[in-house]
Amino acid sequence: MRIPIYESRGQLSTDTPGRSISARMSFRGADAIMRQGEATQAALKAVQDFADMRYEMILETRLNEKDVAMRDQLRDMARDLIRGKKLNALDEIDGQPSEFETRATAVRDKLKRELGTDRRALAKFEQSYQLASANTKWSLRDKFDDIIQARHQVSIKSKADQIINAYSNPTASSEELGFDIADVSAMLQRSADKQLINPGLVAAIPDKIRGQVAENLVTAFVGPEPFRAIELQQLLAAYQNVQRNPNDTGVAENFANMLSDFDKEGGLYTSQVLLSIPPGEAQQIIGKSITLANRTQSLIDAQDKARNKVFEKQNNRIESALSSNDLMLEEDKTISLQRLEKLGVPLDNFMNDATGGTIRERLTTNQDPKKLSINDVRSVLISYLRTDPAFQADRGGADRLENIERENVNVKSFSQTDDVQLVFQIEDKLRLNEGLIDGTTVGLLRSNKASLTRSTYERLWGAITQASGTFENALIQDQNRLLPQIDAALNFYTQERQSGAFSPDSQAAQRAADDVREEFRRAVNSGQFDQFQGRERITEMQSFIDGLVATRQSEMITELRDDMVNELTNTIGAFAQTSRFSVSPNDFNQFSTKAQTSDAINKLNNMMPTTIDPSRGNILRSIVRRYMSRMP
Amino acid sequence: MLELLAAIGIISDIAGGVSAKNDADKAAAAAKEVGEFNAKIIERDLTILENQRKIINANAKLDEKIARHKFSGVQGSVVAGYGAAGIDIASGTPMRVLRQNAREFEYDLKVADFNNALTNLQITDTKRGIELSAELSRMEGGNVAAAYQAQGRASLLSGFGSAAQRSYSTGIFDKSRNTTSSTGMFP
Repeated sequence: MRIPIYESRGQLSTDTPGRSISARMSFRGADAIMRQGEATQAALKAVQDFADMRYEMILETRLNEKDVAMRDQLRDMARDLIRGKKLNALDEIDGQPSEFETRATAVRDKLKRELGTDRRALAKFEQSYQLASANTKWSLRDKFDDIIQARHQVSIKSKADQIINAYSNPTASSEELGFDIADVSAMLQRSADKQLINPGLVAAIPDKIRGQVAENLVTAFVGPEPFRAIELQQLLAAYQNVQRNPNDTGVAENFANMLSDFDKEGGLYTSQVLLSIPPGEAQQIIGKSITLANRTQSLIDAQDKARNKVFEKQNNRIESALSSNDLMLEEDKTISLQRLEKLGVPLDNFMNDATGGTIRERLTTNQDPKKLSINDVRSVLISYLRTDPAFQADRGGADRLENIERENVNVKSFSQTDDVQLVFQIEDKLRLNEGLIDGTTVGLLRSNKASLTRSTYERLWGAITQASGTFENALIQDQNRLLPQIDAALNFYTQERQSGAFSPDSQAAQRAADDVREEFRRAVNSGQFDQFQGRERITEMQSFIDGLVATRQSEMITELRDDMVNELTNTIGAFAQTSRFSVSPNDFNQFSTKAQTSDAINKLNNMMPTTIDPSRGNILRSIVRRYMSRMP
Repeated sequence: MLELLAAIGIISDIAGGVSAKNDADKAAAAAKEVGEFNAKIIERDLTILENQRKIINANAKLDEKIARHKFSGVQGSVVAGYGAAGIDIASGTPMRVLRQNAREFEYDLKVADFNNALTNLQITDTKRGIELSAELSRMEGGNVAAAYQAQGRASLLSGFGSAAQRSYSTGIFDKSRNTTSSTGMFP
């Protein structure tokens, strides 16, 4: 029998209640918290960046401003120091900072305070200041050096000028000049040792001084006389000959003889100085002195000419006064000083004779200025002309004076016709033989002519005839030589006239006449026709030309006046009845020059009716003004 | 104006540093919390393992009892069989069979104990691993927190440093700069 056995089939589980949890919390949460904070950080960073940017901008601007201000103030300070010539402004004195350092530091400190507290900006500014300060300092040093050198050079120049002035005097001596130049050389050497001047100047300046002294001496010695320069040139050549032939006694003796001739008016000293400089330079100085002499001579001539021109005008006025009706000699006739002034007599000119004084003083001595004797006035004026150098230089002046004097004699001393003729003959003789007859005789005659008696004249006539007789032939020859020139001048005038230069244009005719007349006057003034009979022909020709010109001018003026009256008449005819009036050429025939324009307008104004429209009056006045402006 | 801008810059530096420090502190606290949280989750496995150990041990004892009961049943069957067959079980082969059975059974029990001991060892190792994991998690949270704290401190220091540097550069608080007269290249 089988016994059934129950066997359980359950299987025990080894599983554990609950399971392992694999989930883990991440650290990203912490990161997230950090990220959340970043927003704040970013906001702060933005604020900071903006503040930084603005800060940098403002700081940079302020730094630039202060930098520019610093450079400006340093420049101003440097300019001030240069202007004040404070040459020790860069030097420390008694251990104290220099003026430049003190002032520059003050500028820097002030600007740094204004700049603020930023250390980087302050460092930049300080660096810039150091550079600018150093540059300014060196620039100042250069300028000061220039000033010191300039002062030194001025001192040298002053010393050189002093020597040149002192030894340009002909009375100085070449030995003393040598001593002083040696002093200058020593002074220059000291300056060169201190590097204040170029070493080359140590030799150049003494040479320059010697050359300048030589030039001054030679110029003064030669003056306006070139032949003196030629003498110096010959002496220089002789000296050079001696240098080339030191053993030739003949050459040396020749030079010594030539040199001895210079022992006057400082010539020896001048020669010695001239010979002490290089020959080439000496030659140049002599050449310059010749040029200068010629120029001086030309200048003197020009001055004489200019002066003579002034005196000539004044003399012409005196001549004109003497020939006027006011000074015609009549018994008991007088003239006032005021009238003489109106005649243009230069009363304040000094008399040229030994007595001196002005014409006015001479006339009014013991005389009533309102009643001066005509005879006295004529005598004084003739005396003035006779002694005046300009009048003497006037080649035709003597003749004119003779005529004036003749008129005086004519009336005063002689009354009979034959007497007058005799005097004329004497005067003609005198005129023709001027310069050939004994001067004392002529002078005696001329100065006393007004008071001489007939017998005296006769005696003089004989003496003059005798004296002049021997020169007659020579005079005739000279006339023959000069007559062709006179003819040529006349031909020139004829050609001018025939060439049509006298055209209907009155102004062109005037110019042509002026040209011809000027040509003749030039010939007359140059003295070509003095003392010859041809002179009368020239005078006639001048009168003819003057007459022609005057005629042409008169025609021109008449034409202008006629045109003016025609235009006025036509213009007035177009006016309304209340503005009309009549004009004729006779109303304006007294106006012939431009200077009379205002008189002509006044005349026109007087002719106008009171009812005329003012604007019409202006039109008429403008017509008159236009025509009068074309008058001579 | 310049001073105001400089002050804004300095204040921004300091505020940035403080803000970063605060944020880092918060992040550090969160990191610690994460580490602790993760550790606790991991440590929860320890209880499970301990329960498993108890269950396994209980199963092992129960299995042993069942085995012993079954073996005694087998031995009884053997006795009964031999008895039924008229075989004296007190000598000779039946006894030998019973002893052989007992030996086999003893062997099985030993094997089962060994296996159970191994399982317990495994559980113990696993528990140790879990404890280490939990410790690691706490340590990681601490490390992260420390890193955040360090970052916060660094930001704070950086902020103050920047502020100090800016203050020095701008000289905003250096009142002596206004009156000092320096002569050197740099102030």
